[in-house]
Amino acid sequence: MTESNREHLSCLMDGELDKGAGKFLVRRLSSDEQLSGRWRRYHLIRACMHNELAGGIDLGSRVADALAAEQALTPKAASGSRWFKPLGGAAIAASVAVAALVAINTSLMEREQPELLASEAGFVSQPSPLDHAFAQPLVPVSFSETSAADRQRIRSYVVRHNQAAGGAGFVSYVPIVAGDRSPPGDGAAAAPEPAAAGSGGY
Amino acid sequence: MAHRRQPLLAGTTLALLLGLVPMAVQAGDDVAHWLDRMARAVETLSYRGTLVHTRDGQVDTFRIVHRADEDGIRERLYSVDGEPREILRDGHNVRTLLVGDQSLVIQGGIGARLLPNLPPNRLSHPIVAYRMSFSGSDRIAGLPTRVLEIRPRDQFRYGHRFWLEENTGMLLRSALLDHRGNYLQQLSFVEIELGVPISDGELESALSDEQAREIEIDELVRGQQGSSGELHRATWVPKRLPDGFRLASTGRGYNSEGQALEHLLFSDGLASFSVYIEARAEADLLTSDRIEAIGPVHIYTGSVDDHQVTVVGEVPSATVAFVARQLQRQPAVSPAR
Repeated sequence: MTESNREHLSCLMDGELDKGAGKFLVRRLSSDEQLSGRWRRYHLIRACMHNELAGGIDLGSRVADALAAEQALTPKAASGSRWFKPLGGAAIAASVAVAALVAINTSLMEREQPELLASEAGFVSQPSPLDHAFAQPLVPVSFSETSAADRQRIRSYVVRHNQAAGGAGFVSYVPIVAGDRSPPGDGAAAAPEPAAAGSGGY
Repeated sequence: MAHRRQPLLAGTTLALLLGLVPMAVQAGDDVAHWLDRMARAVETLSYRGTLVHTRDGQVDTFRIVHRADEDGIRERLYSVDGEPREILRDGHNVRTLLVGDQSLVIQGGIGARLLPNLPPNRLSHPIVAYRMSFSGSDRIAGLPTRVLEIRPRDQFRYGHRFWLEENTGMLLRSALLDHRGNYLQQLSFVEIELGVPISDGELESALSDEQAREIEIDELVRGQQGSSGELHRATWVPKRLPDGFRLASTGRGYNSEGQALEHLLFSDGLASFSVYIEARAEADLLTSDRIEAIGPVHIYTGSVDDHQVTVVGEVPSATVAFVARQLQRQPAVSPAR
Protein backbone atom coordinates (compact mmCIF):
# COMPACT_ATOMS: atom_id res chain seq x y z
CA MET A 1 0.00 0.00 0.00
CA THR A 2 1.41 3.33 -1.02
CA GLU A 3 1.38 6.58 0.87
CA SER A 4 -0.83 8.12 -1.82
CA ASN A 5 -3.36 5.33 -1.36
CA ARG A 6 -3.62 6.08 2.35
CA GLU A 7 -3.97 9.74 1.63
CA HIS A 8 -6.69 9.04 -0.92
CA LEU A 9 -8.50 6.87 1.58
CA SER A 10 -8.39 9.58 4.19
CA CYS A 11 -9.61 12.14 1.63
CA LEU A 12 -12.47 9.85 0.61
CA MET A 13 -13.57 9.59 4.23
CA ASP A 14 -13.63 13.33 4.49
CA GLY A 15 -15.43 13.67 1.17
CA GLU A 16 -12.53 15.60 -0.31
CA LEU A 17 -11.52 13.24 -3.08
CA ASP A 18 -12.40 14.28 -6.61
CA LYS A 19 -15.01 12.25 -8.47
CA GLY A 20 -12.71 10.30 -10.76
CA ALA A 21 -10.26 9.28 -8.07
CA GLY A 22 -13.19 8.47 -5.79
CA LYS A 23 -14.68 6.06 -8.29
CA PHE A 24 -11.35 4.40 -8.72
CA LEU A 25 -10.73 4.03 -5.01
CA VAL A 26 -14.20 2.65 -4.28
CA ARG A 27 -13.65 0.02 -6.97
CA ARG A 28 -10.34 -0.90 -5.38
CA LEU A 29 -11.88 -0.96 -1.92
CA SER A 30 -14.33 -3.60 -2.98
CA SER A 31 -11.59 -5.92 -4.20
CA ASP A 32 -8.52 -5.05 -2.10
CA GLU A 33 -8.67 -6.84 1.28
CA GLN A 34 -5.86 -4.79 2.78
CA LEU A 35 -7.31 -1.50 1.66
CA SER A 36 -10.81 -2.29 2.90
CA GLY A 37 -9.31 -3.35 6.25
CA ARG A 38 -7.63 0.00 6.50
CA TRP A 39 -10.87 1.72 5.51
CA ARG A 40 -12.59 -0.08 8.40
CA ARG A 41 -9.86 0.89 10.87
CA TYR A 42 -9.97 4.53 9.80
CA HIS A 43 -13.69 4.61 10.54
CA LEU A 44 -13.13 2.96 13.89
CA ILE A 45 -10.48 5.53 14.77
CA ARG A 46 -12.70 8.37 13.73
CA ALA A 47 -15.62 6.96 15.72
CA CYS A 48 -13.38 6.73 18.77
CA MET A 49 -12.14 10.26 18.29
CA HIS A 50 -15.69 11.54 18.03
CA ASN A 51 -16.81 9.46 21.02
CA GLU A 52 -19.22 7.69 18.76
CA LEU A 53 -18.07 4.16 19.41
CA ALA A 54 -20.71 1.96 20.97
CA GLY A 55 -18.89 -1.14 22.16
CA GLY A 56 -19.60 -4.35 20.37
CA ILE A 57 -20.96 -2.79 17.21
CA ASP A 58 -18.45 -3.42 14.44
CA LEU A 59 -19.64 -0.77 12.07
CA GLY A 60 -16.68 -1.19 9.73
CA SER A 61 -17.39 -4.83 9.07
CA ARG A 62 -21.05 -4.04 8.57
CA VAL A 63 -20.11 -1.50 5.94
CA ALA A 64 -17.87 -4.09 4.33
CA ASP A 65 -20.65 -6.66 4.45
CA ALA A 66 -23.03 -4.22 2.87
CA LEU A 67 -20.46 -3.55 0.16
CA ALA A 68 -20.02 -7.25 -0.37
CA ALA A 69 -23.76 -7.73 -0.65
CA GLU A 70 -23.97 -4.98 -3.24
CA GLN A 71 -21.04 -6.56 -5.02
CA ALA A 72 -22.81 -9.87 -5.25
CA LEU A 73 -25.83 -8.30 -6.90
CA THR A 74 -24.12 -6.00 -9.36
CA PRO A 75 -22.57 -8.36 -11.93
CA LYS A 76 -25.94 -9.66 -13.11
CA ALA A 77 -27.85 -6.41 -12.89
CA ALA A 78 -25.23 -4.21 -14.43
CA SER A 79 -24.51 -4.89 -18.05
CA GLY A 80 -23.44 -1.53 -19.42
CA SER A 81 -22.68 0.56 -16.38
CA ARG A 82 -20.20 -1.49 -14.38
CA TRP A 83 -18.62 1.68 -13.07
CA PHE A 84 -21.71 3.21 -11.72
CA LYS A 85 -23.33 0.42 -9.70
CA PRO A 86 -20.55 -0.36 -7.20
CA LEU A 87 -20.24 3.32 -6.47
CA GLY A 88 -23.97 3.54 -5.84
CA GLY A 89 -23.69 0.59 -3.48
CA ALA A 90 -20.84 2.20 -1.60
CA ALA A 91 -22.75 5.42 -1.31
CA ILE A 92 -25.76 3.62 0.15
CA ALA A 93 -23.56 1.64 2.54
CA ALA A 94 -21.83 4.81 3.63
CA SER A 95 -25.09 6.60 4.19
CA VAL A 96 -26.31 3.63 6.21
CA ALA A 97 -23.16 3.93 8.29
CA VAL A 98 -23.76 7.60 8.93
CA ALA A 99 -27.38 6.96 9.84
CA ALA A 100 -26.31 4.19 12.18
CA LEU A 101 -23.83 6.47 13.88
CA VAL A 102 -26.46 9.14 14.33
CA ALA A 103 -28.93 6.58 15.66
CA ILE A 104 -26.43 5.18 18.15
CA ASN A 105 -25.60 8.65 19.30
CA THR A 106 -29.17 9.72 19.90
CA SER A 107 -30.07 6.45 21.57
CA LEU A 108 -27.15 6.91 23.96
CA MET A 109 -28.31 10.42 24.71
CA GLU A 110 -31.85 9.27 25.29
CA ARG A 111 -30.63 6.68 27.71
CA GLU A 112 -28.88 9.36 29.73
CA GLN A 113 -31.80 11.76 29.79
CA PRO A 114 -35.04 10.01 30.81
CA GLU A 115 -35.13 11.10 34.49
CA LEU A 116 -34.57 14.68 33.50
CA LEU A 117 -37.28 14.72 30.85
CA ALA A 118 -39.78 12.92 33.02
CA SER A 119 -39.35 15.26 35.94
CA GLU A 120 -39.65 18.33 33.75
CA ALA A 121 -43.03 17.19 32.54
CA GLY A 122 -44.44 16.32 35.90
CA PHE A 123 -45.27 17.49 39.36
CA VAL A 124 -41.90 18.79 40.34
CA SER A 125 -38.43 18.86 40.48
CA GLN A 126 -35.03 19.91 39.45
CA PRO A 127 -32.61 17.05 39.04
CA SER A 128 -29.95 17.04 41.72
CA PRO A 129 -26.43 15.63 41.56
CA LEU A 130 -27.64 12.85 43.82
CA ASP A 131 -30.08 11.59 41.24
CA HIS A 132 -27.69 8.93 39.99
CA ALA A 133 -28.77 6.88 42.97
CA PHE A 134 -31.96 6.14 41.07
CA ALA A 135 -30.01 4.03 38.63
CA GLN A 136 -29.24 1.54 41.37
CA PRO A 137 -30.72 -1.88 40.71
CA LEU A 138 -32.14 -2.68 44.16
CA VAL A 139 -35.87 -3.20 43.62
CA PRO A 140 -38.26 -2.91 46.56
CA VAL A 141 -40.04 -6.11 47.51
CA SER A 142 -43.69 -5.86 48.38
CA PHE A 143 -44.30 -6.43 52.05
CA SER A 144 -46.68 -9.31 51.33
CA GLU A 145 -43.82 -11.29 49.77
CA THR A 146 -41.77 -11.07 52.93
CA SER A 147 -41.65 -13.97 55.37
CA ALA A 148 -43.75 -13.73 58.53
CA ALA A 149 -40.71 -13.44 60.82
CA ASP A 150 -39.21 -10.65 58.72
CA ARG A 151 -42.55 -8.93 58.62
CA GLN A 152 -42.68 -8.75 62.40
CA ARG A 153 -39.14 -7.44 62.55
CA ILE A 154 -39.83 -4.84 59.88
CA ARG A 155 -43.11 -3.76 61.36
CA SER A 156 -41.51 -3.21 64.73
CA TYR A 157 -38.96 -0.93 63.07
CA VAL A 158 -41.68 1.02 61.33
CA VAL A 159 -43.61 1.50 64.57
CA ARG A 160 -40.39 2.40 66.35
CA HIS A 161 -39.55 4.99 63.72
CA ASN A 162 -43.08 6.41 63.78
CA GLN A 163 -42.98 6.82 67.53
CA ALA A 164 -39.63 8.52 67.41
CA ALA A 165 -40.66 10.82 64.57
CA GLY A 166 -43.89 11.84 66.23
CA GLY A 167 -45.55 12.53 62.94
CA ALA A 168 -49.07 13.74 62.46
CA GLY A 169 -50.92 11.15 64.55
CA PHE A 170 -53.20 8.84 62.62
CA VAL A 171 -51.70 9.89 59.29
CA SER A 172 -48.50 8.05 60.14
CA TYR A 173 -50.14 5.08 61.87
CA VAL A 174 -52.91 4.08 59.47
CA PRO A 175 -50.60 3.31 56.53
CA ILE A 176 -48.66 0.77 58.61
CA VAL A 177 -51.67 -1.39 59.33
CA ALA A 178 -53.61 -0.64 56.14
CA GLY A 179 -53.35 -2.56 52.91
CA ASP A 180 -52.05 -5.63 54.66
CA ARG A 181 -55.12 -7.73 55.11
CA SER A 182 -54.84 -10.17 52.24
CA PRO A 183 -51.25 -11.09 51.52
CA PRO A 184 -51.40 -13.27 48.39
CA GLY A 185 -50.40 -16.86 49.11
CA ASP A 186 -51.17 -16.65 52.81
CA GLY A 187 -54.40 -18.53 52.30
CA ALA A 188 -56.63 -15.71 53.41
CA ALA A 189 -59.47 -17.03 51.29
CA ALA A 190 -62.14 -14.73 52.67
CA ALA A 191 -60.26 -11.61 51.72
CA PRO A 192 -61.11 -10.05 48.36
CA GLU A 193 -58.67 -9.97 45.48
CA PRO A 194 -56.77 -6.67 45.38
CA ALA A 195 -57.66 -6.35 41.70
CA ALA A 196 -61.35 -6.74 42.42
CA ALA A 197 -61.18 -4.04 45.07
CA GLY A 198 -59.44 -1.76 42.60
CA SER A 199 -62.18 -2.00 40.01
CA GLY A 200 -64.80 -0.86 42.45
CA GLY A 201 -65.45 2.48 40.83
CA TYR A 202 -63.24 4.72 42.95
CA MET B 1 -85.46 44.39 43.94
CA ALA B 2 -82.38 43.93 41.85
CA HIS B 3 -80.98 47.39 42.64
CA ARG B 4 -80.94 46.57 46.34
CA ARG B 5 -78.86 43.46 45.87
CA GLN B 6 -76.12 45.02 43.82
CA PRO B 7 -74.33 47.05 46.55
CA LEU B 8 -74.36 43.99 48.71
CA LEU B 9 -72.80 41.92 45.94
CA ALA B 10 -70.14 44.57 45.30
CA GLY B 11 -69.40 44.74 48.98
CA THR B 12 -68.97 40.98 49.19
CA THR B 13 -66.67 40.98 46.16
CA LEU B 14 -64.56 43.77 47.65
CA ALA B 15 -64.33 41.98 50.98
CA LEU B 16 -63.28 38.82 49.18
CA LEU B 17 -60.63 40.67 47.19
CA LEU B 18 -59.28 42.40 50.28
CA GLY B 19 -59.14 39.07 51.98
CA LEU B 20 -57.38 37.39 49.09
CA VAL B 21 -54.60 39.87 48.43
CA PRO B 22 -52.79 39.62 51.77
CA MET B 23 -53.31 35.86 51.67
CA ALA B 24 -51.37 35.61 48.44
CA VAL B 25 -48.62 37.94 49.66
CA GLN B 26 -47.80 36.03 52.80
CA ALA B 27 -48.41 32.60 51.32
CA GLY B 28 -45.05 31.28 52.50
CA ASP B 29 -45.49 32.16 56.19
CA ASP B 30 -49.11 31.24 55.98
CA VAL B 31 -48.38 27.71 54.78
CA ALA B 32 -45.97 27.08 57.65
CA HIS B 33 -48.55 28.53 60.04
CA TRP B 34 -51.23 26.19 58.67
CA LEU B 35 -48.91 23.21 58.95
CA ASP B 36 -48.44 24.00 62.62
CA ARG B 37 -52.17 24.46 63.05
CA MET B 38 -52.73 21.10 61.41
CA ALA B 39 -50.26 19.30 63.70
CA ARG B 40 -51.77 20.93 66.75
CA ALA B 41 -55.37 20.24 65.72
CA VAL B 42 -54.72 16.55 64.97
CA GLU B 43 -53.31 16.08 68.47
CA THR B 44 -55.14 18.52 70.72
CA LEU B 45 -58.74 18.31 69.47
CA SER B 46 -61.15 15.60 70.53
CA TYR B 47 -62.88 13.83 67.68
CA ARG B 48 -64.41 10.62 66.47
CA GLY B 49 -64.83 9.64 62.87
CA THR B 50 -64.48 7.18 60.01
CA LEU B 51 -61.36 7.14 57.89
CA VAL B 52 -60.97 5.60 54.46
CA HIS B 53 -57.53 4.63 53.25
CA THR B 54 -56.87 3.84 49.59
CA ARG B 55 -53.66 2.50 48.12
CA ASP B 56 -52.96 0.46 44.99
CA GLY B 57 -56.67 0.11 44.41
CA GLN B 58 -57.27 -1.35 47.84
CA VAL B 59 -59.65 0.30 50.28
CA ASP B 60 -59.46 0.03 54.08
CA THR B 61 -61.86 1.59 56.52
CA PHE B 62 -60.94 2.61 60.07
CA ARG B 63 -62.73 4.14 63.01
CA ILE B 64 -60.82 6.67 65.04
CA VAL B 65 -61.55 7.98 68.53
CA HIS B 66 -59.21 10.69 69.76
CA ARG B 67 -59.36 12.46 73.09
CA ALA B 68 -57.18 15.30 74.36
CA ASP B 69 -57.78 16.62 77.85
CA GLU B 70 -55.95 17.36 81.10
CA ASP B 71 -55.08 13.65 81.39
CA GLY B 72 -53.20 13.80 78.11
CA ILE B 73 -53.84 12.31 74.72
CA ARG B 74 -55.55 8.99 74.17
CA GLU B 75 -56.42 7.52 70.83
CA ARG B 76 -57.95 4.33 69.51
CA LEU B 77 -57.76 3.49 65.83
CA TYR B 78 -59.22 0.23 64.58
CA SER B 79 -60.08 -1.42 61.30
CA VAL B 80 -63.68 -2.18 60.48
CA ASP B 81 -62.93 -4.35 57.46
CA GLY B 82 -60.48 -7.16 56.79
CA GLU B 83 -58.48 -8.66 59.62
CA PRO B 84 -58.80 -6.92 62.99
CA ARG B 85 -56.07 -4.36 63.51
CA GLU B 86 -55.90 -1.78 66.23
CA ILE B 87 -53.60 0.96 67.43
CA LEU B 88 -53.98 2.30 70.97
CA ARG B 89 -52.12 5.40 72.05
CA ASP B 90 -51.87 6.71 75.55
CA GLY B 91 -49.49 9.62 75.67
CA HIS B 92 -46.19 8.34 74.34
CA ASN B 93 -47.21 4.76 74.82
CA VAL B 94 -48.32 3.07 71.62
CA ARG B 95 -49.72 -0.44 71.35
CA THR B 96 -50.16 -1.92 67.89
CA LEU B 97 -52.27 -5.06 67.69
CA LEU B 98 -52.56 -7.29 64.67
CA VAL B 99 -54.77 -10.34 64.76
CA GLY B 100 -54.88 -13.16 62.26
CA ASP B 101 -52.12 -15.22 60.66
CA GLN B 102 -49.46 -13.01 62.10
CA SER B 103 -50.92 -11.83 65.35
CA LEU B 104 -48.53 -9.41 66.93
CA VAL B 105 -48.42 -6.77 69.59
CA ILE B 106 -45.86 -4.01 69.38
CA GLN B 107 -45.74 -2.01 72.52
CA GLY B 108 -43.52 0.80 73.61
CA GLY B 109 -43.22 4.35 74.81
CA ILE B 110 -40.54 6.21 72.97
CA GLY B 111 -40.75 9.76 74.18
CA ALA B 112 -38.70 11.10 71.38
CA ARG B 113 -40.58 14.19 70.48
CA LEU B 114 -38.41 17.18 70.77
CA LEU B 115 -41.31 19.42 71.65
CA PRO B 116 -44.36 17.79 73.12
CA ASN B 117 -47.06 17.02 70.60
CA LEU B 118 -45.39 18.65 67.70
CA PRO B 119 -43.99 16.93 64.66
CA PRO B 120 -40.43 17.43 63.47
CA ASN B 121 -41.49 20.28 61.20
CA ARG B 122 -40.98 22.59 64.16
CA LEU B 123 -37.32 21.78 63.95
CA SER B 124 -36.10 22.96 60.68
CA HIS B 125 -37.91 26.04 59.56
CA PRO B 126 -37.80 27.03 56.83
CA ILE B 127 -38.61 23.80 55.04
CA VAL B 128 -36.45 24.23 51.98
CA ALA B 129 -36.91 20.93 50.22
CA TYR B 130 -40.48 21.65 49.12
CA ARG B 131 -42.54 24.21 47.30
CA MET B 132 -45.72 24.92 49.21
CA SER B 133 -48.85 26.75 48.20
CA PHE B 134 -52.59 26.84 48.69
CA SER B 135 -54.50 25.50 45.75
CA GLY B 136 -58.10 26.33 46.49
CA SER B 137 -60.90 25.07 48.65
CA ASP B 138 -62.93 21.88 48.85
CA ARG B 139 -65.54 20.19 51.00
CA ILE B 140 -64.61 17.06 52.92
CA ALA B 141 -66.97 15.10 55.17
CA GLY B 142 -69.37 18.01 54.99
CA LEU B 143 -66.85 20.59 56.19
CA PRO B 144 -65.17 23.41 54.24
CA THR B 145 -61.44 22.93 53.77
CA ARG B 146 -58.53 24.71 52.18
CA VAL B 147 -56.17 22.62 50.10
CA LEU B 148 -52.48 22.81 50.77
CA GLU B 149 -50.14 21.69 48.02
CA ILE B 150 -46.62 20.53 48.89
CA ARG B 151 -44.28 19.58 46.08
CA PRO B 152 -40.84 18.11 46.63
CA ARG B 153 -37.90 19.73 44.86
CA ASP B 154 -36.21 16.40 44.15
CA GLN B 155 -36.94 12.69 44.03
CA PHE B 156 -35.72 11.89 47.53
CA ARG B 157 -39.10 12.68 49.13
CA TYR B 158 -42.80 12.58 48.39
CA GLY B 159 -45.29 15.34 47.76
CA HIS B 160 -48.39 15.96 49.86
CA ARG B 161 -51.82 17.42 49.47
CA PHE B 162 -53.57 18.32 52.70
CA TRP B 163 -57.22 19.28 53.09
CA LEU B 164 -57.43 21.39 56.25
CA GLU B 165 -60.66 22.35 57.96
CA GLU B 166 -61.10 26.13 57.78
CA ASN B 167 -61.85 26.85 61.43
CA THR B 168 -59.54 24.47 63.24
CA GLY B 169 -56.87 23.43 60.73
CA MET B 170 -57.86 19.82 61.35
CA LEU B 171 -56.56 17.44 58.69
CA LEU B 172 -59.57 15.92 56.96
CA ARG B 173 -57.90 14.42 53.90
CA SER B 174 -54.31 13.66 53.11
CA ALA B 175 -52.83 12.50 49.82
CA LEU B 176 -49.31 11.29 49.25
CA LEU B 177 -47.87 11.83 45.79
CA ASP B 178 -44.71 10.77 44.04
CA HIS B 179 -42.43 13.39 42.49
CA ARG B 180 -44.38 13.23 39.23
CA GLY B 181 -47.65 13.99 40.98
CA ASN B 182 -49.16 10.49 40.88
CA TYR B 183 -51.25 9.50 43.88
CA LEU B 184 -49.56 6.88 46.07
CA GLN B 185 -52.15 6.77 48.83
CA GLN B 186 -55.04 8.74 50.24
CA LEU B 187 -56.49 8.93 53.69
CA SER B 188 -59.76 10.73 54.16
CA PHE B 189 -62.44 11.24 56.73
CA VAL B 190 -65.82 10.31 55.32
CA GLU B 191 -67.51 11.38 58.54
CA ILE B 192 -66.18 13.25 61.57
CA GLU B 193 -67.47 14.78 64.79
CA LEU B 194 -65.11 17.50 65.97
CA GLY B 195 -64.92 18.71 69.57
CA VAL B 196 -67.13 16.00 71.06
CA PRO B 197 -66.78 14.44 74.53
CA ILE B 198 -65.20 10.95 74.41
CA SER B 199 -65.88 8.40 77.12
CA ASP B 200 -63.25 6.03 78.56
CA GLY B 201 -65.17 3.05 77.23
CA GLU B 202 -64.70 4.17 73.64
CA LEU B 203 -60.94 4.08 74.11
CA GLU B 204 -60.78 0.51 75.39
CA SER B 205 -59.46 -2.21 73.12
CA ALA B 206 -61.98 -4.71 71.83
CA LEU B 207 -59.36 -7.18 70.66
CA SER B 208 -58.00 -10.14 72.53
CA ASP B 209 -54.23 -10.37 72.28
CA GLU B 210 -53.54 -13.42 74.43
CA GLN B 211 -52.04 -15.51 71.68
CA ALA B 212 -50.14 -12.74 70.01
CA ARG B 213 -46.40 -12.48 70.06
CA GLU B 214 -45.43 -9.36 71.94
CA ILE B 215 -42.57 -7.10 70.95
CA GLU B 216 -41.47 -4.46 73.41
CA ILE B 217 -39.71 -1.45 72.01
CA ASP B 218 -37.95 1.06 74.14
CA GLU B 219 -35.30 3.63 73.65
CA LEU B 220 -33.48 6.46 75.31
CA VAL B 221 -33.57 9.37 72.95
CA ARG B 222 -31.83 12.67 72.89
CA GLY B 223 -33.38 15.33 70.74
CA GLN B 224 -31.43 18.38 69.78
CA GLN B 225 -31.98 21.64 68.04
CA GLY B 226 -28.44 22.26 66.82
CA SER B 227 -27.91 18.93 65.21
CA SER B 228 -24.54 19.16 63.51
CA GLY B 229 -22.53 18.88 66.72
CA GLU B 230 -24.50 15.85 67.80
CA LEU B 231 -23.91 14.09 64.53
CA HIS B 232 -20.18 14.12 65.20
CA ARG B 233 -20.71 12.28 68.43
CA ALA B 234 -22.69 9.46 66.81
CA THR B 235 -20.75 6.26 66.18
CA TRP B 236 -22.17 5.93 62.68
CA VAL B 237 -22.85 8.71 60.22
CA PRO B 238 -23.85 8.92 56.57
CA LYS B 239 -21.13 10.62 54.53
CA ARG B 240 -23.78 12.48 52.57
CA LEU B 241 -27.49 13.09 52.94
CA PRO B 242 -30.07 14.09 50.36
CA ASP B 243 -30.49 17.89 50.42
CA GLY B 244 -32.57 19.29 53.23
CA PHE B 245 -32.38 16.33 55.61
CA ARG B 246 -30.84 16.99 59.02
CA LEU B 247 -30.27 14.95 62.11
CA ALA B 248 -33.25 15.42 64.42
CA SER B 249 -32.31 13.07 67.24
CA THR B 250 -30.08 10.19 68.26
CA GLY B 251 -31.01 7.33 70.53
CA ARG B 252 -29.91 4.07 72.06
CA GLY B 253 -32.13 1.14 72.83
CA TYR B 254 -32.66 -2.58 72.41
CA ASN B 255 -34.27 -4.46 69.57
CA SER B 256 -36.89 -7.16 69.96
CA GLU B 257 -34.16 -9.77 70.57
CA GLY B 258 -32.62 -7.71 73.32
CA GLN B 259 -29.62 -6.55 71.34
CA ALA B 260 -28.33 -3.01 71.63
CA LEU B 261 -29.08 -0.66 68.80
CA GLU B 262 -28.10 2.83 67.83
CA HIS B 263 -30.69 5.10 66.26
CA LEU B 264 -30.36 8.20 64.11
CA LEU B 265 -33.49 10.13 63.15
CA PHE B 266 -33.33 12.48 60.17
CA SER B 267 -35.96 14.94 59.02
CA ASP B 268 -36.37 17.52 56.29
CA GLY B 269 -39.22 19.18 58.15
CA LEU B 270 -41.94 17.01 56.65
CA ALA B 271 -40.49 13.64 55.74
CA SER B 272 -38.34 11.66 58.12
CA PHE B 273 -36.38 8.44 58.18
CA SER B 274 -34.58 6.47 60.85
CA VAL B 275 -31.29 4.62 60.70
CA TYR B 276 -30.90 1.68 63.09
CA ILE B 277 -27.52 0.02 63.58
CA GLU B 278 -27.12 -3.21 65.52
CA ALA B 279 -23.98 -5.21 66.19
CA ARG B 280 -24.31 -8.78 64.98
CA ALA B 281 -22.78 -11.74 66.77
CA GLU B 282 -20.41 -13.62 64.44
CA ALA B 283 -22.57 -16.71 64.43
CA ASP B 284 -25.47 -14.71 63.09
CA LEU B 285 -25.97 -14.48 59.42
CA LEU B 286 -26.09 -10.93 58.20
CA THR B 287 -29.04 -10.32 55.96
CA SER B 288 -28.29 -9.50 52.37
CA ASP B 289 -29.15 -6.02 51.15
CA ARG B 290 -32.79 -5.60 50.29
CA ILE B 291 -35.63 -3.13 50.35
CA GLU B 292 -39.14 -3.85 51.50
CA ALA B 293 -42.13 -1.64 50.79
CA ILE B 294 -45.24 -1.16 52.88
CA GLY B 295 -46.96 1.09 50.40
CA PRO B 296 -44.90 4.28 50.36
CA VAL B 297 -42.91 3.29 53.46
CA HIS B 298 -39.56 1.76 52.52
CA ILE B 299 -37.34 -0.36 54.69
CA TYR B 300 -33.76 -1.04 53.71
CA THR B 301 -31.99 -3.93 55.41
CA GLY B 302 -28.31 -4.49 54.86
CA SER B 303 -24.98 -4.74 56.55
CA VAL B 304 -21.96 -2.52 57.07
CA ASP B 305 -18.84 -3.74 58.91
CA ASP B 306 -20.53 -6.72 60.60
CA HIS B 307 -23.39 -4.53 61.71
CA GLN B 308 -26.94 -4.80 60.58
CA VAL B 309 -28.30 -1.57 59.19
CA THR B 310 -31.99 -0.80 58.84
CA VAL B 311 -33.16 2.43 57.24
CA VAL B 312 -36.88 3.06 57.47
CA GLY B 313 -39.16 5.93 56.57
CA GLU B 314 -42.01 7.19 54.44
CA VAL B 315 -39.60 8.16 51.69
CA PRO B 316 -38.85 6.73 48.22
CA SER B 317 -36.77 3.56 48.02
CA ALA B 318 -33.91 5.55 46.50
CA THR B 319 -33.63 7.59 49.70
CA VAL B 320 -33.28 4.65 52.08
CA ALA B 321 -30.86 2.92 49.70
CA PHE B 322 -28.80 6.07 49.26
CA VAL B 323 -28.50 6.73 52.97
CA ALA B 324 -27.69 3.11 53.82
CA ARG B 325 -24.85 3.11 51.30
CA GLN B 326 -23.44 6.33 52.69
CA LEU B 327 -23.16 4.98 56.23
CA GLN B 328 -19.73 4.69 57.71
CA ARG B 329 -18.28 4.21 61.13
CA GLN B 330 -16.73 7.20 62.82
CA PRO B 331 -13.01 6.47 63.36
CA ALA B 332 -13.09 7.60 66.99
CA VAL B 333 -14.92 10.13 69.06
CA SER B 334 -12.68 13.16 68.93
CA PRO B 335 -12.28 15.21 72.10
CA ALA B 336 -13.98 18.57 72.24
CA ARG B 337 -12.00 21.39 70.75
